[in-house]
Amino acid sequence: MRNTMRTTGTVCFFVFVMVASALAQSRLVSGPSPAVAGPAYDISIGYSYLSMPISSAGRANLNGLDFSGNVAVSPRWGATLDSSYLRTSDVLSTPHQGYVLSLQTGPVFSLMQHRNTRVFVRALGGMALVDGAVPVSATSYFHGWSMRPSYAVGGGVERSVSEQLAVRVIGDYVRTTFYDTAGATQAQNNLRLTVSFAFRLKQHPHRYSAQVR
Amino acid sequence: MRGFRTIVFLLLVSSMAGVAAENKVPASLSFDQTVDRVVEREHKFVETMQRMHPLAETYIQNLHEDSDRNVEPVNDQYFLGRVDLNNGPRDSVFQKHHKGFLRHVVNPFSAALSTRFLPQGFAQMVILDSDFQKNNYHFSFVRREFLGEARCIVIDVQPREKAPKGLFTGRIWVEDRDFNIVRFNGTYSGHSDYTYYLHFDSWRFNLQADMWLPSYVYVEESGTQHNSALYHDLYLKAQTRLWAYDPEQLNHEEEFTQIKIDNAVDDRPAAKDNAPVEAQRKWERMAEDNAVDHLQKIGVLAPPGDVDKILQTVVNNLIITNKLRIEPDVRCRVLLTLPLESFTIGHTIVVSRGLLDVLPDEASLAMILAHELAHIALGHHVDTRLAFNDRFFFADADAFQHLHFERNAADEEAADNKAMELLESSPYKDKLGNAGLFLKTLQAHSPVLTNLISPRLGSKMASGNTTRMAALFNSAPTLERQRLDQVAALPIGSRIKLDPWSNQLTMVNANPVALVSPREKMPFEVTPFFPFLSYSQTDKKLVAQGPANP
Repeated sequence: MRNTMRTTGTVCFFVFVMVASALAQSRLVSGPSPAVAGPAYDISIGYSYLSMPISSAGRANLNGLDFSGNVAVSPRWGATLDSSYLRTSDVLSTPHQGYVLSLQTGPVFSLMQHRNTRVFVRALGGMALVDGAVPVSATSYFHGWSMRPSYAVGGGVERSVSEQLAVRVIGDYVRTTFYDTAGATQAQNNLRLTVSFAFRLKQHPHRYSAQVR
Repeated sequence: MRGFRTIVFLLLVSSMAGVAAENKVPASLSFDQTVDRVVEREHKFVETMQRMHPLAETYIQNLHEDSDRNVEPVNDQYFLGRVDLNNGPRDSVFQKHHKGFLRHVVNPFSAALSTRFLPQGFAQMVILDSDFQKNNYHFSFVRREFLGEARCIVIDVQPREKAPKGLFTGRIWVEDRDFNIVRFNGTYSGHSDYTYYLHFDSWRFNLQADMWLPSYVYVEESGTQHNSALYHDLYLKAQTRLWAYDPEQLNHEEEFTQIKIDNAVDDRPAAKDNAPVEAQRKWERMAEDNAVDHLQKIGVLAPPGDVDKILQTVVNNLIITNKLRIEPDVRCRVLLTLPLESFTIGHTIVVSRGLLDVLPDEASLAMILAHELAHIALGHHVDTRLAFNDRFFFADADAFQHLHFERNAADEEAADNKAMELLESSPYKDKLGNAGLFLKTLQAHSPVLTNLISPRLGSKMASGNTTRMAALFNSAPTLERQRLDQVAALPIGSRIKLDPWSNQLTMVNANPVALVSPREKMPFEVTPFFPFLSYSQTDKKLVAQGPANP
């Protein structure tokens, strides 16, 4: 299982890097060179939905909040720190309240931008705390928690509503770890959908410096 | 037969008059045809600019408005580079220091995580649109207007709705003789989250026949009112100047084509050999000449000209009144860059254009020159390593790293003392109050305008609590900013005019202006450009001879 996870992760990483590099060959923003450039910071908050498979039992649906901080360090590249808390009141009809708390960070790459709309992909890595339950029969279940490394790859669309506000819709494949009915750890292939509002932060002139190569 | 000849003559004259009218009176063109001509000329201009590699110097002052609505610079930025517009604007930037390896290791993301001014973004402002297409813009006629002697058609230009991002939006001035854009004022549309275009006013000069080339760009962003929400209080003024267009100046083979052999035979009767002292002097002079020639060749030193003569006059006043005997002769040259500095290369006194611009009077100039003359009188030597030409085998942009003319603190102090002696015996001895005030203003601004006051080749004039010529500083009257009659330092660009083609300097020919408020004193500050546009002498001759065929 660990090998499968590693292979999937490696493939996803290389696909991400190759697509990003290929697209970076073309200029995202054509036209004149800007006179001022600098990191664009934003913070976002939104609703997130996660579809989580439970070993041999089906999928649990979790809902919650997603917070993230983002910085764009070039017209194409940026980084994000993403945190989400998603819960369900009953995991697959068990009385157990499950949740997933994740903290992940990684690069964001802009594929294209047309007027106020931007399409991007991202790859995140970090930790996830999964608290869940695994039904073993109609009346009994195991429950517990697992905090393991996790990663996510996905992409989204951002639409600027004003200079300071944007709406983002992001879909991610999220890899977490939990137990199966035998009590062994098993990778989970989750799907996460997030809709959030991003608030862009202002730059201050005292931070300006001249860029000389 | 005579009648036939007369008719033919009249027809010829009338047809020539028709051609002349077509060239001379563009009013006969429709507005649409005028725009076509403008677009065509702009394409030619872009082609021309791609062959040009001028130096571009940008100086930026970030401003702050206090509660009393006084606006003052809070910090500054400076870059000098050679422009290359072949694949978008690129600069090879002249740097004094390279960033250290350690700095990259400690904080590899420092560049990525700070907002910064980009030299190529300022160089970009010389180009209205690298692919100027009529169908990307709305054009609307505004009026006719004279900019100097150039009669212009003023046109508002706005990108069409479906046009690509990054197009110019603003106003253009088109001279109506050949339809060259001589000025454009506005910005580029469509900045992104990460990048921002500034508002600018870009001027072109008729430097050669049929060739209008970018010379000045003034940039201004005035606080939050018209600003991107992303760049809080982006409040700045900046100037970009371009020069060293003449490819001959950069051609390192120039000297080969300009060999002049005058007085090839030394007809002095006996002195065929050099005594050791004479040989040493010649060796030092060779080092001096090498350095001066190299600086001129790369375009940072003005060729000998009228401004040098003014400096030379002041130096001669000091030499004669102090009965100094200096061999070989003292020469004066002007560095074309803005940072305030003066230094000596052997017996050549070099003063920067920026310093000459801001000096309030002749006595202040005498103070600067007296200090440098003192270095020479005290025998502070040129670095004779420069007598070897291989010392100059480096990229132009590395000149500030390879050439150093700063003096140590002891030499500077000795020169200060000697300069005071020279000034005491000079015609300037009773007029040095303003020179002291200049030093006080310089020191007051030194923590803020660090890039303006940081020399690139010489020694620093002010740092911390010390300034050059401390005795004058201490004896100066109190600096009173509110007094209109106390002008201790001038705004940048007050005195020197630079020919962007030949690098020749002349004094600004402006009428004296009476100040009406202390705000107008603007010491060391960036101000807008309003040059007097004129046609080049060659173009004037063409006009005098009649219009050329289209």
